Amino acid sequence: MSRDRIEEHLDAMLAPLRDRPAQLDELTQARVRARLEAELAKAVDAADARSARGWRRGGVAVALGVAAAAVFAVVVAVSGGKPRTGTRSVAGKPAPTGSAATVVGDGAVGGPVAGTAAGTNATGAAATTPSAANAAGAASSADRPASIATSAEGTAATTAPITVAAGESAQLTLGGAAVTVYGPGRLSPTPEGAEVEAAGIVVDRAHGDKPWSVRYHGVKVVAIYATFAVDHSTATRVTVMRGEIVLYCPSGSRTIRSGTSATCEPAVRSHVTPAPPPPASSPEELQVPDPPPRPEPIAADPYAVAESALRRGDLDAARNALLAIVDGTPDSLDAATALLDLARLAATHGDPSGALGYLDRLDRHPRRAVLAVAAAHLRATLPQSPIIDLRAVP
Amino acid sequence: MIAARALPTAVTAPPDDNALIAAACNGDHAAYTALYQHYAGRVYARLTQLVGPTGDREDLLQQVFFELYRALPRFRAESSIGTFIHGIAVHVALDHLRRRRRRPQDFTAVELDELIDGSATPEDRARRRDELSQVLVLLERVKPAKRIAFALVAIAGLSLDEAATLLDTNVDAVKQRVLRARRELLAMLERAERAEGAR
Repeated sequence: MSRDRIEEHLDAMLAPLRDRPAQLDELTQARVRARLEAELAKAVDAADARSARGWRRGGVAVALGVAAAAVFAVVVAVSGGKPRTGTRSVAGKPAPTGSAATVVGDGAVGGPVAGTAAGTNATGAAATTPSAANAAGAASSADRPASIATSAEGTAATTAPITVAAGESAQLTLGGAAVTVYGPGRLSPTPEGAEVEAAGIVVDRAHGDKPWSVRYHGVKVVAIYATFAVDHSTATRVTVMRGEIVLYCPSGSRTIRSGTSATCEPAVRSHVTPAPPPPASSPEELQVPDPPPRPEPIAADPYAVAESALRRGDLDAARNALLAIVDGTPDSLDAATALLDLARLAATHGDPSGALGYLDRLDRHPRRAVLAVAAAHLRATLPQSPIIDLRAVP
Repeated sequence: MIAARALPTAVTAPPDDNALIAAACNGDHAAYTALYQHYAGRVYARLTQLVGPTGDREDLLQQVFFELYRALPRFRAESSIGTFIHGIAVHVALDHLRRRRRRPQDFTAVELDELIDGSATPEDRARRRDELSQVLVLLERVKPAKRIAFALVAIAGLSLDEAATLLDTNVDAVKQRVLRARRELLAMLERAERAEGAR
């Protein structure tokens, strides 16, 4: 082969690198941003600790800004980024704890989210997405009111799998967790949480006091209160943005904390099977298996003690541990988080005035900015709470 | 989720780089986030050209913007912020290639497919995937400094001047590196094809 021919061949081989710039997908961008912000927050904290007292105020301000942006990034990631063209439909109320699911779909005509046939049962209307409605010959999404997914008034108990097309995403609320599924792939609700085979998912579990788990490519992630992303390329990777999760890989289990990520070695792909329908009685009474055994937390980590108590279902112990954090280190970020968790506990156990009390205390906390969005959201969901202008959230 | 939609969307506003840099230097985190949103895609694409479609790019992207955060106060606007960021990306990629020199990279079909035209026929896709895999293996054998210079000029299409700026070196040095890298690649390719023909 002549030299010219070889040169031509080399240029042709390089063409894909030259002519097709790699695309950074939304999920990767959000995940890197969350990790970056966690790293920056650590760096700022470290610098803050080293700096003289006079610099302390400025360092804290940066840390708060970074952490607030991290919360923002998490919320953006969970909500699937900026809305796409077309109407957007939103489920009216969060699904009750258990297996009930409400779906928020991208409302483009012929869009990505397709409720499967199993979702069209009498009470399973919550699985009916705009796309599914289109497929059923409904009006075009441009004419459709934004409340289309509010059917069944948010109380429908469905175990219908959700299918998401490549490059698209779907959001749903499942057992107190806001889940965003990135296609291609599908999600099948299970009594414990969900089973997913998709490009990635982002989960924000802010409600519920039982462990919630997701099975993904042969890996299981168990969380109570946490925000995390899971994706799969050559291996399955979990990135935790808030709280902590327990990651069960084929080789064993690990606890992954906020701001860190972990990878599971490649595993045999799990086969997603549609979950069995829930009992016709109350989804609240579903038998959730005991959480997998895990080592007791080190006593020196009071937050781990509180979370361990939550996992055991020992609410008094959890509440006491959280209060101990608030009393022990009143100005710390842990104390602010503890106040939010106390408010959530109170709200989920029928004590809205107690929840408001904790939220009021959080409003006066020096590190409130980090949790402002989550606190405003919780406040807005409490009965008879005043309307919050989220645009005013710092 | 609803809260996110109601928040100010600074990240989606058309960014004015100078204003963003000034604000980011003053500790405005939203401005830094906007810089990330604006440049992350391009940096990712550039990293792909420099190190190949490896799974490490995500870590490298994070590292680039972490380094940017630390370097931003030193930015003197002698070049554009884009050039400044790409300069950081080039150095992060160079360090990465030097570190992984002893463990050559394998690329999965999924990673390779990212760069293959989706509209091609299956046969074409398979052929291009093979070729891309082959050229990436050859690139792994070129020393990092030469490989980066070659990637900037022959793959990213930068001028020698631009590549020299990003590499903090002079035009002659870049030219030498590019030519040597190309010569090495051609020699390796020729040997490979000769061996293939002999079989």
